Amino acid sequence: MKPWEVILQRACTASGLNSSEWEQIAASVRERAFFSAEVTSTKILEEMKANVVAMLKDGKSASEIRRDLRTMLFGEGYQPDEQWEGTIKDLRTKARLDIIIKTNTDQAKGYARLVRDTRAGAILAFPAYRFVRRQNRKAQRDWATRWANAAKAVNYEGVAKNGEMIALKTSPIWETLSRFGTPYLPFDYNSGMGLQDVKKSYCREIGLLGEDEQPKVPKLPDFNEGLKK
Amino acid sequence: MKLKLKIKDPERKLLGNEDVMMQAASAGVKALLREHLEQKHQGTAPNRYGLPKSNYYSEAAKHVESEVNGKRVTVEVDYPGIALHYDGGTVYPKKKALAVPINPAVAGIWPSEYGREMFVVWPKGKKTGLLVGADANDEDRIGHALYLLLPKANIPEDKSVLPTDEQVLNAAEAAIWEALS
Repeated sequence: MKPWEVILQRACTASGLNSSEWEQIAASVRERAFFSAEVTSTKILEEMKANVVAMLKDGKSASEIRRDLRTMLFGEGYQPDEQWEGTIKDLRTKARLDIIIKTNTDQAKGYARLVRDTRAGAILAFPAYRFVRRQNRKAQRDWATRWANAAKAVNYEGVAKNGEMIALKTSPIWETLSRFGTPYLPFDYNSGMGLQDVKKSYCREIGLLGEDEQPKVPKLPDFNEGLKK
Repeated sequence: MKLKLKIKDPERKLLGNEDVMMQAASAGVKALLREHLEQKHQGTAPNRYGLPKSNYYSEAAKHVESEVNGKRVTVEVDYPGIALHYDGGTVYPKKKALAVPINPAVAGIWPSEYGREMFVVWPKGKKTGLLVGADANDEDRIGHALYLLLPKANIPEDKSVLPTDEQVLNAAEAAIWEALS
């Protein structure tokens, strides 16, 4: 599945929920929804979704997307509450639009990557990921502590115990680590963290797999599995 | 732009399920390509105009995709400009000139998005010009040079954008052996 197809499958879900409230919704529901905190207009969401698809499929730039979305918002008569003008709650701001664009494109790419990385051949060669910093951030989250807490929470199931942030791709740590409750990148907003494939021989060397143990090949659920008709 | 690396038939006769071995080869090459681009990102110099890093190669690494079709594995970096950096070339403007942000206030913002008044400064006989902020309500930008205007831009060839063919084949082979072990 291509990243843009992941976005296409999401249903625009307008609501007055803020981001904290959205985080209380089950991950399985959020994964299938295209939403943005406190956006109650389906039309606005449809335009945002179309632009995210255009970026993933056709390489439309973030600058063009922001320009076009601002034009659309103006046309729709969008006006934020006066107290929120110019802040991240104002849909017209670069900060807000960039969060929408980046989070959705990164999630689509993350999901598509996980699908390919867990195919039989890929898992047999690279059964695990190493959680690594890829891009610097001015304010970096304490991922080492978050990792340790997540590892304890899942009782180290599929998690390396040698101090490295390595876990099998099938380990429940990934969902637990994620702010979004999903087992794929990104694991938080604009985190700068990424994944590095870890080969099977190294997994055996650090005891993540037994000497002759083969990794399990997961069956990722169909995108709409579990949905009631 | 798409830059495709085609791997035709690994050197060794496959012992196991051929589809699975092809998936392993694909995974090996993708892993190599991602790490290669991330390493390139680590080596990039700060922007000479003091703009925030765009993390270009690190973002490109997120766009490594692959397809297995019978005995053919295609791994590509579907990210704007990668092929241009690899092969080199000249970029021409769609309109009158290329506009390169040179002020942090417009980092990542094209003039079409900027939306505020600017004026052009382009002395006769000079190869480059400037777009200067002209919005009296925009204290941070009025009078400041925001964009460098160029009639074209020459991008030098850089074969280090991608790993070598030998590295690619080695990665594919190593991944197959990992899968078989």
